[in-house]
Amino acid sequence: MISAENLRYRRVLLQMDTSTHCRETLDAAIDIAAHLRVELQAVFVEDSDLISVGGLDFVHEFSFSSATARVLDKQTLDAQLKALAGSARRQLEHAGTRRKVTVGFHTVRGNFQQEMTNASQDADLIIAEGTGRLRARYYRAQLTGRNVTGPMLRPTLLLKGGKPLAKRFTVICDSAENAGKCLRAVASLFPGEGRELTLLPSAANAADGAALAKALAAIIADAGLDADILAPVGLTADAVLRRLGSLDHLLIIADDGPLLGDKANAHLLFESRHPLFLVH
Amino acid sequence: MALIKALPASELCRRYALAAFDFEDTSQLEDLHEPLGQDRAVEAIRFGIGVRHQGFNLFAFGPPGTGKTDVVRHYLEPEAAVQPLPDDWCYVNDFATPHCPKALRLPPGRATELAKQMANLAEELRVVISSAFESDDYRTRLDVIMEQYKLRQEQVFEELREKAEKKSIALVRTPVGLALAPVREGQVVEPDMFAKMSEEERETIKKDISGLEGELQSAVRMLPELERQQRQEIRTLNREITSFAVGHIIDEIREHWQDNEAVIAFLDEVQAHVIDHADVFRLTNEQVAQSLPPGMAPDISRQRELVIGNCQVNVLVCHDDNNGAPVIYEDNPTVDNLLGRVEYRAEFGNLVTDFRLIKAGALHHANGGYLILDARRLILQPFAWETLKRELRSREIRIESLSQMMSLSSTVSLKPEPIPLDVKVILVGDAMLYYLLSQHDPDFRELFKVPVDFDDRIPVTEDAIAHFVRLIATHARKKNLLPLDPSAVGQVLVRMTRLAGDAERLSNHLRSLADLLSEADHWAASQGHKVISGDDVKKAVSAHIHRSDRIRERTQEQFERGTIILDTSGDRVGQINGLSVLQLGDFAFGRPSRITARVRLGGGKVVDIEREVKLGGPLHSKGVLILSNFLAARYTKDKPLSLTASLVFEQSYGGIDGDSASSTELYALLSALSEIPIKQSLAVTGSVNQFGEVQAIGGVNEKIEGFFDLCQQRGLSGDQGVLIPAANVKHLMLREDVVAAAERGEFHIYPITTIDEGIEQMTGVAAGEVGDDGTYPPDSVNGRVQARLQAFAQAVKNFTKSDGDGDGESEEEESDD
Repeated sequence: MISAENLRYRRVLLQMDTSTHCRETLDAAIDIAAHLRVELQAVFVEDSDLISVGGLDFVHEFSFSSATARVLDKQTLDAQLKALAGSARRQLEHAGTRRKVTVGFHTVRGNFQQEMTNASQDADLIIAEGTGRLRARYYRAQLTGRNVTGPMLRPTLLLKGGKPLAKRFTVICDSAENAGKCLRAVASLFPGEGRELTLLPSAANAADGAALAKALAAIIADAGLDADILAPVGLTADAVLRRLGSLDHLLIIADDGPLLGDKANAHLLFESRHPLFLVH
Repeated sequence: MALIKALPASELCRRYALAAFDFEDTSQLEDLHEPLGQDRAVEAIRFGIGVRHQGFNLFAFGPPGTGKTDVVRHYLEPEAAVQPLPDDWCYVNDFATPHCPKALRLPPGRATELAKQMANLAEELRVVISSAFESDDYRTRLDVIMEQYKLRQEQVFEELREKAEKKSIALVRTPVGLALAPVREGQVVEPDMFAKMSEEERETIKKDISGLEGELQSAVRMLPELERQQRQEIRTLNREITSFAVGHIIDEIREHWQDNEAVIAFLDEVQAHVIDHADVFRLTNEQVAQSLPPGMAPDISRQRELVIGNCQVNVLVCHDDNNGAPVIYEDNPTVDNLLGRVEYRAEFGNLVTDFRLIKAGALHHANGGYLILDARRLILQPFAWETLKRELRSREIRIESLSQMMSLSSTVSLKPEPIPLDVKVILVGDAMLYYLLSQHDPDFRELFKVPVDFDDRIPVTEDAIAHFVRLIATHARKKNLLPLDPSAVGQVLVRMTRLAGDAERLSNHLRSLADLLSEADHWAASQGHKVISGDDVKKAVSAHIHRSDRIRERTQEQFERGTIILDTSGDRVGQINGLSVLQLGDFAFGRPSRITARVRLGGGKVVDIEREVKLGGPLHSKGVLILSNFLAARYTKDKPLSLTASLVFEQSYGGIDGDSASSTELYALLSALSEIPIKQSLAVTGSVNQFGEVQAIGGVNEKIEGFFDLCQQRGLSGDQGVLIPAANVKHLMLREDVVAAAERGEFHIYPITTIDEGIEQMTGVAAGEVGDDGTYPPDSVNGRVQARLQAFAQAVKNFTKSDGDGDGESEEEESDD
């Protein structure tokens, strides 16, 4: 039986930085916190790399709006960071008041990954913006979304492009065990009617795929779930994404399964337009 | 001397022979379908309706209440019914210049069809376009475009990044842009570490970064262009998707309108408009807000309504009733009601409008048919007359408000395309207005070439009576009144003859007839009668008069109480009873007046005291001036008229006009000159010419009845009566009580032809025939007048002679007189 009893999210952490600051991500996080009736803690990280850039007096910043070069000194950078953090805080508080969600906000300065690892110690669920697009404010250049989850310690919801969450959930099942884990996570995080649940078996070969599909059928039958099982695909992100087509799905996948074990697959999934729920 | 005989009672009032009415009541009679006694008007109407040339509009005029509008409609409606239906007219949006809506001409009855089709189209657009944009096909193609451009963008930066990476330089995202910074072991080099580097290494890094910054700047500059290209491709895709989605829906409508180029052109414009504005169907308010900077996002639902609204059709006129050409009667012919108007609605405190708020006027509704207007109301409405003339001249309906016409307003408003006008206008009004316009408005004769002259009386013939009786029956039936029995019909005929003021004419004043029948019906119904009887009609007439005759009663009361002095018996020199008519609204009554004359030696002048105090009108003065000429010509041919006479209406405090008292005044003068008294039991009316012939006057019945009422009040003595011109005998339609008194010999009506007849009747003395020597018998009235005037002349002569002896002062006084 799939139960959410042992999977209760009590503390939700929203990762924010200069690049992830976008209203829609924040709104999506508030929605989830309101739905779970839990407190939302936001951490705004001022990346040490960026601070270092501000200290190099020969470095120029090229803004997207004008393409003109100007010296990015420490003072200007500090002012920009403060302005962004202040804006993010106001937005969060406003959204929290509107949705009646208790919110917390604090700013840390240091290595992004290290600070996030520290902050996530007390969280049950991490929400982050994970799009790696250059033009977007959330592009990190070398520090793309996959880096966020590098040292992942907690279940992480990686939103893409600030879009609100769709009601289409597709569980990428690279093993029966992981499928059960993912279904429990879904039941906990996204209960309720109206959701469209699909299971996509992903196996190295057809025989394994068929066996996996059979196992999945048994799982959903046992759980009494209303879910579709798609025809199995190969154990690659490319095969998975091709099967999903253009529709926006929230992909639920275990972070320690064979699919994400391959860095190339992980890269593709992180870069895709689909938001990810990485079940720890 | 042979006195004139009083008229027999039979000549005092026309009576209609009830025996000739071969019906029990009017319900047995057939309706009269043709208007009675309006042959000239009917002929003009038929002509006016038939001729379709410009300017042959009609002006129907005649006394109010003669049923002009009904008669016009009676002939117009059947004629219009067999004429072809005119085209429908709509206004549609002009997509190029929205403030100048286009007029769309459609075959009769099809405007509503097009409007419905366009309304349905709007409903379908909402669904079809949003469905098309939600399709997998569209989303995939959109994703492809977006991905392509994202890849192109990223490719540029990725190449730069890789190039920089080879030189241990990282592309770093800053809060508002990008920067290049040196890295070591995956971390940006801290300033302290950088300072510890060798000079050479630092310079190398700076040089590398400087070299790369140029490329970075170029790459960033490419972004807006790439975005523009992306937007363009997305726009092209959207147009393609929208075009495909709406094309087949609009094609369905096109199928219906293959034969109408204007509609096809309109549909093409609609299709292009919808495609150009596909975003308003595709995006929600939230999506628009996301895609545009805050504050610039339009209210998409309003935009959507606007786009849909612009595709609608405003049906101005639709002839889907198949009743032939329209016949429109506009009761309130204001400029707006004639031309139509542009209405406004309030939106957020502003007044806005568009082509859908254009409303049709009477000219639109009547276009291709007929428009009936009340001429007086039209003239009284500001600018309505000028507006109507302008539209008829230009043959276009140009919707303009009064403020636009007068250049009082400069606000932006609509300027709808003018609509061709083909209408025949029928003005209905009174004759005075027709003649005034005809004389003073040069446009009038150009535009209203067909006069339709209505008469309100018809000659009494057997045929006319028969038709009139059917007219009475028709009215009674039409108004759901009780039927009339023959006696009632007879009384109605008597009343209508009296209203005509002529025993040989019947008034066909339809409003009076209808009112009389309605009132008679009321009295009959209140008595529980099944049919209207003659008594009911009499009651209706007397009640009608009673409601209006308070002033007459008050006047009678003044005679009774001696406030107004007037003798009805005895004889007096230079004093006579004249008769006048007071008209109060639609009620007139006669009022006797004492007229007195005094004579003395003078310069040949008859002084009209009424005129001296400016109470006499020109016609009255004219009558008095005739008198002096009559006296001079008749009595003092070879001598100067050497008298001064004064004439006055005693106790008259208002204006007097008309020459109907001129014979009366002459009798008074003759009496004063001859010193022969006049019988006060008689009253006189009639005008006189220079030869002493008595001429017809108006209001003879009221005048006789006025004197009769006074005499009756004081008691009829048997010798009282009225002298009337013989020419007025045919006009006599006296009240029953007057006729009855005459029949009993208690009151007399004398028809007079000449002054001599009249003076004999008034004095009982022979007037006297002129002899060969130009003199009259000395004892006759004329003889005594002549003698008196000659005496005056002699006196003047003597006076002048003695003046020549030295008394010039007196002559001067006489001259002044």
